[in-house]
Formats: sequence, C-alpha cells, structure tokens
Amino acid sequence: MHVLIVEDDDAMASALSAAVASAGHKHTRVSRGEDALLAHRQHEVILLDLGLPDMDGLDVLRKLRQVTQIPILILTARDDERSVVLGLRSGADDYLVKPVKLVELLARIEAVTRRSSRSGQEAPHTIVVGDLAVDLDRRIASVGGRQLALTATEFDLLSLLARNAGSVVTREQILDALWGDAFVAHSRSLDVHLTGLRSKLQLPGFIINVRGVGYRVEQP
Amino acid sequence: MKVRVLGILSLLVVIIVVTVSSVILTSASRELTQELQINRVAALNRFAQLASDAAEDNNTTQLQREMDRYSELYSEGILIRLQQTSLRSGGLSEDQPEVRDALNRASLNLSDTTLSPLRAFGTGNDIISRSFGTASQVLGEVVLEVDLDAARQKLRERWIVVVLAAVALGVLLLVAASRITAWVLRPVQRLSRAVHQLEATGKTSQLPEAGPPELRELSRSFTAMADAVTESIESQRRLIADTSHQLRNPVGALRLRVDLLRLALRSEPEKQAAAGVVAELERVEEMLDGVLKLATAEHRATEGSARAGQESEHKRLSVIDAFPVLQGEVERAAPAALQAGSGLTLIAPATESLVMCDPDELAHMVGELLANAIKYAPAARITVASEPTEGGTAIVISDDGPGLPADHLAASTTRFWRAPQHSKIPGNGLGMTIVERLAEANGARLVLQTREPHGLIARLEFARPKDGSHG
Repeated sequence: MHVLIVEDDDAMASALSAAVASAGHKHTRVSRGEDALLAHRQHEVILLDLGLPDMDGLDVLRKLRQVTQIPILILTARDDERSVVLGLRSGADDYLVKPVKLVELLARIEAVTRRSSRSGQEAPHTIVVGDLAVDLDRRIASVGGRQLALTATEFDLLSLLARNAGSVVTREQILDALWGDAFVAHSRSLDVHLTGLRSKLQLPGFIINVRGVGYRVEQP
Repeated sequence: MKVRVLGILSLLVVIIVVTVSSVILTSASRELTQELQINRVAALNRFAQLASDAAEDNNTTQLQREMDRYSELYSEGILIRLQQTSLRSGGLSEDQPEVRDALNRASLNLSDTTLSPLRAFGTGNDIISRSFGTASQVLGEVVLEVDLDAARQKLRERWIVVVLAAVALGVLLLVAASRITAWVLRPVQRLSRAVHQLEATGKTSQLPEAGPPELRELSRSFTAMADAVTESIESQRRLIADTSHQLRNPVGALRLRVDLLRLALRSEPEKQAAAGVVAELERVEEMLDGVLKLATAEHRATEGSARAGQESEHKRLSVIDAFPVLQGEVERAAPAALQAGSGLTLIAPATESLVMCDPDELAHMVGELLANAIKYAPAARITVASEPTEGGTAIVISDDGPGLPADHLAASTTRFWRAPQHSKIPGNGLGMTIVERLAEANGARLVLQTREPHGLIARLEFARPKDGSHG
C-alpha cells in the first residue's frame, strides 16, 4: 500500500515513515498542503497533519474531498473537540491525536483502507467484530451464539457501528443513516436507542463514546 | 460602608431639621401669645376704665351690659369687683381658685397681664387681671378670662405646616445624602466587584471613570493593574498550552521510534528495558495530556465566569438530561472497573435530571471522577447517581474505598497533588484540578466529602437551570 504522509515536522515525518515502512507499506512524505493536493493521486491512503505551514489542514482535507474518495486519516496535535469534529465532518475517515502508539497507527490505517476497499465491492452479508456477529441479510445479530432481540432501529445502529468497526462514526452520520436527517432533533432518541442496544449487548466497553464526536466499536 | 455613611448623614439631617423646626415653632408660639396678649390687655384696660367710670357714677348697668355683650361675642368671662358689688359675665366666678388668686393679687395693686406662652396641645383658659382706682386707692379689680383655643388652633395649623415642611425638607436632604453617598461609593463598589472578578477569573471588565477625582484615579490605576495581571495570566496559560502542544510532535516521534525499536529487540533484558522506557514515555504523554486539558479547562473557566451573569449566548451550554451522559461514561469505564474488580452501579433517577452544562464537559468530568474512583479505590463499590438538591441537581459519584483524610480532601484539587499513599499508582495529579475548573466553567462546583464509614463522595453540584432556556 502506498501511504502519503503530509507532515511539516521533520522528526515526526521520519518516525511516521519508519512506522509505515515497518508494516511493509510504501510511502511519500510532503510537508506542504499544496504538495499534498498535487500528490494525492498516486496513493491509497493519506496521513494528514492539521498544522501545516502553508494552509490549514482542514482546508487541504476539504479540497481533497472534492476530488477524491481515498481514505484520509487525520494525525494531529490538536485534540480539542472542535478540530476533531470539524475534521470528521469535513470528510476525514478517522483521526488520531499525537502521540500515537505504533500498533494503533497501523491498525487505524488498516481499518480505513479495509473499509474503503470493501465499499467498492459488493456489500458483505455478515460482519464479525469479536464476539459479535451481524447477519445483514437475515437482520439477526448475536453475541457468542446468543441471539439478540433487537428492534429495527437498534439493529440498524449496531450494523452501522459494526460496519465501521475501528473508526469513529459521528453522531451526525448516525442520525443521517438512521433518520435520514443529520441535524434534526433526534439526538435524544439516539441516546435512548443506544441505551437499549447496550443493555441487550451486555458487552461493557464494546461501544465507546468518543466525547463530543460520536461512537466507535473497537476492532479486537 | 454605605449604611454607615448614610446613617451619619441622616442623623445630621434629622438633627438639623428638628432644630430648625423647633426654633420656628417656638417663635410662632411667642408671636401668637404676644398678639393675643396685646389684644386682651387692651380689652382689660377698657373694662378697667369703664369700671372706674361706673364706680364714680355709682351706676353699673351700663358696665354690666358692656360685659355681657363682650362675653357673648367672645365667650370669655369677665369679673369686676367694685367696692360694694361684684359684676360677672360669661360664667366666671370667685369660686374658681385661680380667679380668687387673681383678685387677691389685683387688690394688692399687682397687675397680672402676661399670658404664659401658648402650647399647641394645652387645654383650658388663661386669666389676666388688673386693678383700677386712683393713684392712692384701689377701687376695684378686673379679671378677664382669655380663651386660648382660637390661638391654639392657629398655632396647631402652623405646626402642621412646619412639620410638613420639615418632613419634606428632611426627605429632600436624605435623598440628596443618599445620592451623594452613592456617587462617592459607587466607584468603590465597582472597584471591589472588579477585584473579586479579577480574583475569580483573572479578568476584569473596564471600570467606568466616575465619582470623585481621587476614586477616578484609583479606578484608572486598578484597570491598568488588572490589565497587566490578565495579560500575564493569559500569556502564562498560552505558554503552557503552546508548550504542551509543541511537545506533542517530538513526543509523538519518540513514541513511534521507541515502538519501532521494540520490534527490533530480541533478548529478554533488552525488552524489559524497553518496557521501562515505554512506561516512562506513557507518563510523559499522560502529563502532557493533563496539562493541555487543564490549560483548556482553565481557559473555559475564565470564559465561563466572565460570561456569568450575562446572557448565555454560549451555545454549547445548554440544558441537558444528565442521565444519558452518565450512562455513556459508566459504559466507558466498565472495562477498567471490571479489571480493577470494582463494582460499578448507575442509579437511574426517578425524573429527568436536567442540568445546564456542556455535555462533553460533563462527560469529561464524570469520566475523570470515575477513573479516579477506579484507580484509587480498587475493588470498591462505585455508585453513580444524580439527585435533586435544594438549589438544583447534584451528580454524585461515591465509592466505599479507603477515602481521603479531611486535609487531603482540600488539597486534592491542587495541581500535581498526589496523595502520599498513592505515589506508586501512575497518575499526574491533574484530574481533580481539571474537574474543578471544568465545573467552574459550567457554573457548577465540585464538592468532595468523606463517606461513612469509609470512602469518598464526589459531588458535582449544578444550580437549577433557569426556565425558558430549555433546549
């Protein structure tokens, strides 16, 4: 896989290059947003820093999204919710806050690329995340062989999270997928359905609330 | 101070008004008495003349008629004693002791033609008397009753006027006094408010220049000082935030390098050494994270209190139901609790527990408190609940772990403070400080209590949201 690293800090960039290389990926490093816009075509995944010398990383992200659907991972020192939410809303597939562990970095790269490659193919029939198995055709979910009695909305919610296992699904994305409108006042109903789903799953810590952003199902 | 200054001023005002009006009233009484006296003494003299004439003529009929007419007209009695007879009109008689006294004194040629000063609320009539006769002989006495009621009535009217005027003047002076006090004290109060604000938030609004020149000067100096303090606090905060932000790149690079290095290691002692490095690195990361969070929380707290009292235009601060947030946080903390052997219980409240708070910051605070409970009270039973309080809602996280002694409770919100008995447990001593600052930012407060028989209770106390701000 060919990774484009957009990072202005040399030490961080070289560490990232080494990290990506350790997983057997090829990589190119650019340090400016302009270069990222020019170089994106030859790559399969982009690691994007938000603090760039020539332009804001979020602008780079928006511009990239106008022309390409390749997976983009934000890797940033900014961990305030506003940047994170803005990043995800602007089309980033996931975000990581520095400092990041090597395994986590590689796992996230893995997750976003797998998701995007899969979206090109035919939709899968079954999603398996750890103990959880979701049969999309028969609309049945089970944990360790125990079949769950889910309502229709709970099932949709669970399958949405499971399909995106390993990366964050924002509240807006959930609201959009389940109710067809990201900004209506379904926020409370989402809380209710989530509570119901959690109590039926009986898997503490399975659905992680990413504060201010959304939810993530952790890939084991 | 206002009460004291105003008190002294009002006392002075009252004394001045009372003195002035009593002087006016005394002189009014004197004037009325004098007027009455001149009038009646003239009448008395006239009757003395008439009586003297009557004594000469030995004919009292004319005198009696005059007396009757006078008494009828003025309803004041007259008594004239001649050598042979006494003439009376208007019900005055010698039986009355004061009349007898007057007659006796007049017979000794002692005239009594002075009226005692009028009293507005006295009763009864006064008596004046004189003798008449030749230079060598007293031929008789005249006693005249003086009806004081009319004069008293007049005096009372003056009293009313004077009292009304005095009250009006007093009120006017008091209003003026309070205006002046306010004018002098308002800058002082503003200054004191500004000092409190500066103390609480490290920021203060511009003081308007008003009041006496000395206080204006003081306001100017204070504003200058406050600006300097604010700027220094702000630049310090920014330095902390920027530093920890800037450190993220090198630490991030270091982290990746170390992780890569560990992959290359083969022998067991090398791996152990690397594990030590990673553990230290994690501490650095945690510290960095904590400092940055604290800087953000402090920034928010200053923002929050600067906004307090104003219209809340901050859209993140909304009325929310705390329960889903508590649920989310309990869910998040569950794996750690399971690992530590702690029991984690969430008690559903009977009604919606509405709080005015930024939901993410509420989550952050609850998460931090839960993490603390799990970390420092291993294998304890941890309860999360929200309960109504007198002034609003409290979110209560309690455990039955070892708890903290009272002096440690107070110290626990100090930056980088770690309980001595916990020095082995990894942590940065910033958690409670962050929670406290975030609570402040949301107009709430963090209260730490000891739980009986042992354990710790952390309460986040929120004031009841104002009506109409729902949404």
